[in-house]
Amino acid sequence: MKASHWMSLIAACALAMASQVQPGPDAGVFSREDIEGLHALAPEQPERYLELGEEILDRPDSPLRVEMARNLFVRAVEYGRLQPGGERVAASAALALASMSPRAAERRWLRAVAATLHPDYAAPAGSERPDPAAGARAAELITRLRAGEGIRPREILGDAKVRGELVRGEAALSADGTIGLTDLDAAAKKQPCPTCSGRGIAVQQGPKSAALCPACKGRTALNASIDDVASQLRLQLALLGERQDQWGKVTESEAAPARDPDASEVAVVFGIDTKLSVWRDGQWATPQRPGQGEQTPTVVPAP
Amino acid sequence: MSDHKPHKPDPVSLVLGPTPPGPFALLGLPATDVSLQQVLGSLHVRLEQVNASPHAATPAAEDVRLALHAAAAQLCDPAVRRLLLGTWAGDGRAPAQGERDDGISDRSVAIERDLHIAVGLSGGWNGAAMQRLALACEARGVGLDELAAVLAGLGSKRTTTSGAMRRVAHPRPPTRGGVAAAAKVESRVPRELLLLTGAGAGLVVLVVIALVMLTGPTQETATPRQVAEVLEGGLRSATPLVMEEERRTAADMALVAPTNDLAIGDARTIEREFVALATALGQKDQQAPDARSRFSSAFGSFAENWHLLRRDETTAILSALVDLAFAASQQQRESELVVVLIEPLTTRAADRRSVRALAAAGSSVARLLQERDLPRGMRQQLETALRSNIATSGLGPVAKFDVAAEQVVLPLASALASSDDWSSTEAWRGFLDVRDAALGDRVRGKDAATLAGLQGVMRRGGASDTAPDAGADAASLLAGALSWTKSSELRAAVLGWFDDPAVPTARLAAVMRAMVKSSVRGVDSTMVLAASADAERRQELRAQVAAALQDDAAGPGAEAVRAWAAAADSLLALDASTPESMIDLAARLAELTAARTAQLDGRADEASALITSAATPTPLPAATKARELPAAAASSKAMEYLQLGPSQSARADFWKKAMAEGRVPDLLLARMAIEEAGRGSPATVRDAARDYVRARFGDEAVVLAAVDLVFSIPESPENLQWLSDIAQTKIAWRGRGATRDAAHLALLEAAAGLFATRVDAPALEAVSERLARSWLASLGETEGDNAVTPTEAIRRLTTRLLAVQRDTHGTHSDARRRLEARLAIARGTLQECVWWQAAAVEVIGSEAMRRTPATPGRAVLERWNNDRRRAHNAFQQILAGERAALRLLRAEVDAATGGGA
Repeated sequence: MKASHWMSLIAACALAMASQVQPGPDAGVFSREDIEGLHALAPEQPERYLELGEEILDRPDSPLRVEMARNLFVRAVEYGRLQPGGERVAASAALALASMSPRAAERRWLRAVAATLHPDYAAPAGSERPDPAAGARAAELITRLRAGEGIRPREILGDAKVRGELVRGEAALSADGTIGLTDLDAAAKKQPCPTCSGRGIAVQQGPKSAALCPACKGRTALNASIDDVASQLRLQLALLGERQDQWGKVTESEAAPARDPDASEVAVVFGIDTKLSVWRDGQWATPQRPGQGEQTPTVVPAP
Repeated sequence: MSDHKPHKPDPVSLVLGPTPPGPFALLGLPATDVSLQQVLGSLHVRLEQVNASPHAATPAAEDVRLALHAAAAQLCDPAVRRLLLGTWAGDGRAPAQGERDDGISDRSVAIERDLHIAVGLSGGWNGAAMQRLALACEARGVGLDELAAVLAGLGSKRTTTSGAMRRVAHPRPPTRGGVAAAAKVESRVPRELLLLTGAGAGLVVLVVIALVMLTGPTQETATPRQVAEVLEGGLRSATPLVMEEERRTAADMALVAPTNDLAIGDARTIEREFVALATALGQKDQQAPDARSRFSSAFGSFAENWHLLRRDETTAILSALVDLAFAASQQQRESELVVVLIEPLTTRAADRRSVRALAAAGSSVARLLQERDLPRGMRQQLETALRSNIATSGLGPVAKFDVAAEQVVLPLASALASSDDWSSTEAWRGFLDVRDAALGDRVRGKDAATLAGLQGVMRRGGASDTAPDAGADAASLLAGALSWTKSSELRAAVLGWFDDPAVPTARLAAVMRAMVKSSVRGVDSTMVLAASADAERRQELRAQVAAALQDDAAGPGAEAVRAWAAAADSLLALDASTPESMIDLAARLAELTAARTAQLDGRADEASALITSAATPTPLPAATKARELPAAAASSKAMEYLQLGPSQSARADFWKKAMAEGRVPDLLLARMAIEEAGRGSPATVRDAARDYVRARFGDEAVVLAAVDLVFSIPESPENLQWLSDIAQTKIAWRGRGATRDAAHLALLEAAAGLFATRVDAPALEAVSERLARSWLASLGETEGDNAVTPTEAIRRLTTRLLAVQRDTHGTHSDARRRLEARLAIARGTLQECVWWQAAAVEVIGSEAMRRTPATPGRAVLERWNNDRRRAHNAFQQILAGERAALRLLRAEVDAATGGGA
């Protein structure tokens, strides 16, 4: 695994740990109305989760508020889909989650989930169509990075539309998902090799001293394998609007199992235990059953 | 061996005596700007000479008649005549503008000319020819009376000279080749006209009556009112453009196609107009200010008449359109073209003409999108327009107009059925025009599309007790256009209408009348539902219809079903572990699914053949060698090259030696060679490097280096040549910037061919082709000339299943919604295939449970869902899908037979 992915993993763990921090009522993050709203929640009324999430998100001045809103939307999806007639609420919540997601693939998946929940939430045809001009520049960028260039790639990467296209095709930047947009940024910063200017041959003392560059050894900063290059080539063709229908050329990542936009997987993906459906004493708990008090878990799930 | 061939005498010399070459001489005309009257007069004279010849009844005379008609047709056309004058006139002088005599002062001559063109274009004197002639006459303001008089006059002119014409024509083998074929059909005109007119004026009247009456239910535009409407519509569509049009200059007029030829949909006129426009746009000194209105007229004519054209004609027109698109884009005027092209896609298709135009525009845009070098802005506009219309939203780039037209038919039916014009018989007539033109004699496909439309019509709205039912006429039209070939789909649909109380009785009655009219076995005139029929009568009739449609659909005997079930059990027990073996097994399972469909539809032979085929695995080609990524070698000869220093001869010799030795480059040497080939100095070094990279065109390092360095290679026609050699495809020079993009794309494709090909590609391609064929077999189709991918095949199959079959709620709306959502997140062709197939399995499941309620469909579907989710790759998911489809049908057979199969 590449260094950047270790960094991503560490960052994700840190975020997960941070999310375990309980947004207690005295944290000053939530207003009295927020707390009252949380206490009034019940899974039979999924719309309340959605509404409260929207209210909390109206003032997104704290990461804890944002996380709480996301938590509430996930619950609204889960309780809404299980509630007869609650599909519309679930679909709305899925769209709200999509609007919060920084990742294009996740946004697409959540929008697809919303579409399966209720017909009114189907995205209009072509609502997320690629930008051909930006796609062409993205394809050029990948070629230039493979050539060892850095200056022009950095310019291209500064274009938000190009970045959008690259995010859309991020999974195809490598065969196994190990190269991301951040790796392209990093490669563009490192290139061209200061020793050989990207040619792979160092001529520090004139042509007679020509030798394999000791710094880069003739390799680019992307350090792609043949499978990665194959995937990149297909991605570039796709960015240029070329359909590739031959099954003999599909990459392993294209042959990955097709993932269903299944609403029941939303809570699993966001790591939220929806069995703890009510808010009591500053944490999520199981609802009270006849003859029982409410149960609180020993570990509070992410808000 | 000698290749001497026996000398064949020139038929013209044989029949007419020594005749100089060329159309003018053939017709005995001087090579000057002859008038139309002169051409037709000479044609008559020459035909008389042929008929008077001792060889009049020989094949040679027939050839001469063909040649005479072809020559006359050429000279009738002013634009062609001018071109021919340039070739055959002694001074090569084209006539000055204004000298032309195309005013056609004599209306009868003009009508005769239209007659020639109409018959020639329509492949003989048939409904289409009548329709064309009627359109032409309407455009000239010629009434039917006048037409009859002219035809009578024509006939009498020729009967005076036609002794030999009454002789029996020699049967001739069909000829291939457009001109000869066209000329041949034209040659039949006078003969048939003579026969008609020879029988007297009464027959002429019959011709006129035929003009009005003889067109079939799907070609009824010959009535004057409809003709007027069509023409009026054509003018209306062009009106906004005409208003913007500046007055044409005399020079412009010379290039404009004759309006009447456009009105009757003369393919050659339309094509020539596109070519003329492309030429005008390509001439920098000519602004072609009226290009948009001219294109509007020409494309409007094509959109109006494409259903009457032959496939080679549509191909030629689309080819000219592609050239025009590029010519317009080079002058930054593509938006004018796009506006006209997409207009039918963005306006309401409420009548016959606009529905045909919609299909034409969608198919034309799909064909244009196949051009990879299309300017991006234009591509985006065209794609947006295509997606904006529900009938064309599923279309992508296609290589042929006809293929796109085929793909439009089914969605068009669904789109019309769900539109505000669902009850418009005129709109449905347009649909039938499109259907017949696109699908030809493919009865199953035509029936499926028609049934999809009829399904929508039957279930739309609801009739009140007092007002007449709005949908009855449309239902009658569509039901009348069905072949009523019995199938499980048809039976399920018809019985479903009886079961659904929301389906108005008037529409059911219309369907029953159509069944009676079509002589469906087991249905007679006593089975037409009265408007006042009650529910009891409706159920009674349902039982009779069920029995009538069951006849053939019940087809397979117990033995055939047992054979199928045994084959299914045998295949369902197999497993597969590699992608190619999974797809092979999926293809064989799909063959059995198709076999069951064929059994249910009464196609026993086809079912039997599919069962036999399914027993045999696909012979799998060997895997290819695994490739390695070219890398920089520490001992690369590139270092040696650099050490040569500035010596020109040493550097040039290095590349010559490398080529002579067949040196395989590492990545560094390949890059060095590409750099020197692109920018090396002096020319001797550059040329030597170019020779080397050309010689190594298939080398992985060279191809990869060429792709990676393409943005640093100067754009020049010379560099484009050797880059084309490496890419193994011709890269056209399109000006700076665009050329580099084209080279980048071509080289990326070459590199993808080398590096992005799986080692199991040969086997995977073989089994995926079989899978595509299996799915097409379920549709009752074969690949024909146009190979389809499995994803395309399952898309077609699923589209038809979703369009034709209906669940208990009337539509498979949930399945459609799921499909759209799933496709939105699918990545690549394989995942798309998984989801199209999943939708098909869901429909097959619900249909099996509807047909045989005891089918344990839910259990099968649940198992499939689990298998699909647990799959390690998309290949496994596809196999799971085919297993589920077959298990559903197998379970249905068990449920129906009590486990007896």
